[in-house]
Amino acid sequence: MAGISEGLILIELDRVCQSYYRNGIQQQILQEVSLSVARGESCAIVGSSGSGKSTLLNILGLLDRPLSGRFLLDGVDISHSTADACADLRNRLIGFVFQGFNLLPRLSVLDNVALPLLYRGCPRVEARQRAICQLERIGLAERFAYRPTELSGGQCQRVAIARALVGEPALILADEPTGNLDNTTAQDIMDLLLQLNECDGVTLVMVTHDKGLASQLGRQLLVRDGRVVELELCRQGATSNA
Amino acid sequence: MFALLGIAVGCAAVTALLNIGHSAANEATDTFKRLGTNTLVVSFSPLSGSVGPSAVAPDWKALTVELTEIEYVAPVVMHSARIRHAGRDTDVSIVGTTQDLAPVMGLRADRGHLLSDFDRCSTYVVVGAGVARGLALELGSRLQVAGYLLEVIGILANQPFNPLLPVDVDESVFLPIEGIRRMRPAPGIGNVIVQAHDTADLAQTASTLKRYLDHASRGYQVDVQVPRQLLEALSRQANTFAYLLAGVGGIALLVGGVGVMNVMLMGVRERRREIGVRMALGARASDIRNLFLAEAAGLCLSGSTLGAIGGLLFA
Repeated sequence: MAGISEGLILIELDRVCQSYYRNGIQQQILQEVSLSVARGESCAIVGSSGSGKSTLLNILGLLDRPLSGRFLLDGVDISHSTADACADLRNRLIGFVFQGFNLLPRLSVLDNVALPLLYRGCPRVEARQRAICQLERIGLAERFAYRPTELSGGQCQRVAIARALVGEPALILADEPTGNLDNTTAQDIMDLLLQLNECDGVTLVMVTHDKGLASQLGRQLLVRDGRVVELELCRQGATSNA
Repeated sequence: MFALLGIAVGCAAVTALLNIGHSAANEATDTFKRLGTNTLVVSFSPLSGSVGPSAVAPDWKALTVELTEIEYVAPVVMHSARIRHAGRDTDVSIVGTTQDLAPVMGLRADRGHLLSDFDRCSTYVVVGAGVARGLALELGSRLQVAGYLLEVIGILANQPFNPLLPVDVDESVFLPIEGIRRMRPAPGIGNVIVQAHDTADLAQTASTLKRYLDHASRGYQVDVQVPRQLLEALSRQANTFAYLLAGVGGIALLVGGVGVMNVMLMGVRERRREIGVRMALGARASDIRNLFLAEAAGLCLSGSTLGAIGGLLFA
């Protein structure tokens, strides 16, 4: 792992609980989840449907607030942050990659990639320049004027990754990024994500169903019945912070 | 897209209606102005059972002396005829009148000069602009009417038809009233156009005039019209119409506004995913709100601009 100081903890969950009310019955989704992820780590979250993976990812991505417990992201306690402060943290620290790509169909590839920078208040020209740089990295620079609907699934996901990376985030949250792709393309995307993790030191947290893909990441966390279990220690021998 | 259309149509309707109402009111005022404010139109129609031509042949000049409120009196005898000139022919109204018609109707000579009392027994005529154009008439041209040759001494300036007056200036040939006997053996005076002094009370003058003419022309029904009263009634009507249009326009706009609101709500509902994505990319709640407000404003603005342009074109 290149140039990332060990022991600097990016994500720290401390006895986080989350529950929803459905038909008047309280459903406990997450029960006292404690977890920490250091900078530069790569982490797979596995588990069956309905186990609470997505809820966990929503909390990690600041899209949802935990009912109780403490969540420190890059040392900031987000339970006391305002919605706007959370939006700002999302913009600067987190890049999202979704299963369904979620590119905005009305914007060109270039504008899709530049969008996070615009929300940061970056001037349009500069945002586009940086977006072009990102598109060059993923090898789609010549398609910058295309609409997302004119690209293949694998290309869309690469554009989505470029969009996640353009703000130079510390953390990439990927929700089954290969779920909609065939095996070869899936492995390409996986390689791209792993390369970003290893070369740039971006922390990678990925939800997946695929055991094979999960095993390529440094840690595997199993979510079962609202609890998180560490499956095996980091292959690369880095000390687990759990 | 449908909302845009709705707003455009709404605005077009409002603009068009308001414009139409406005131009209708303007037209009424224009007519009023062209006419002069003190004009009265007398029309004679034979009562049933009366025989013979009009007994009305009073000394019209005497009328201005007897009724002091009256400034000009122009009797009008109308006769339809076919006239020929240089191989072309056309149907016109031949108007027998006196020199007073010019000030009453605001006639102006484009070329040549107008009829005067000195032309009374001549075969001189003055032609309207439309007739002159249609037959390519020049000063000195000779018109052939029912065996007579009439010499053109004046061509009138273009004058739009005024529905309140019996004479369509552009399509008429004017000759001295005495000359009309050449066309018709026993001509009756159909109308008299009268102009009162500025200070006169028109209603009062109208009734005095009617009494006087009733007495002078037995066997004939005499009607005195006061165009000013007609026009006032017209403009009151136009006002009512304008209120109605404003009401219709307001309702159309209200419906358009509700349409926009609806479209925005639908948009938010349909684009939940997009909102989620934008939030994930770091958009604040205010960014999302601005996005939708800007879209709604753009929609309204372009719709209303289109509608206004359409309405102006239509009106």
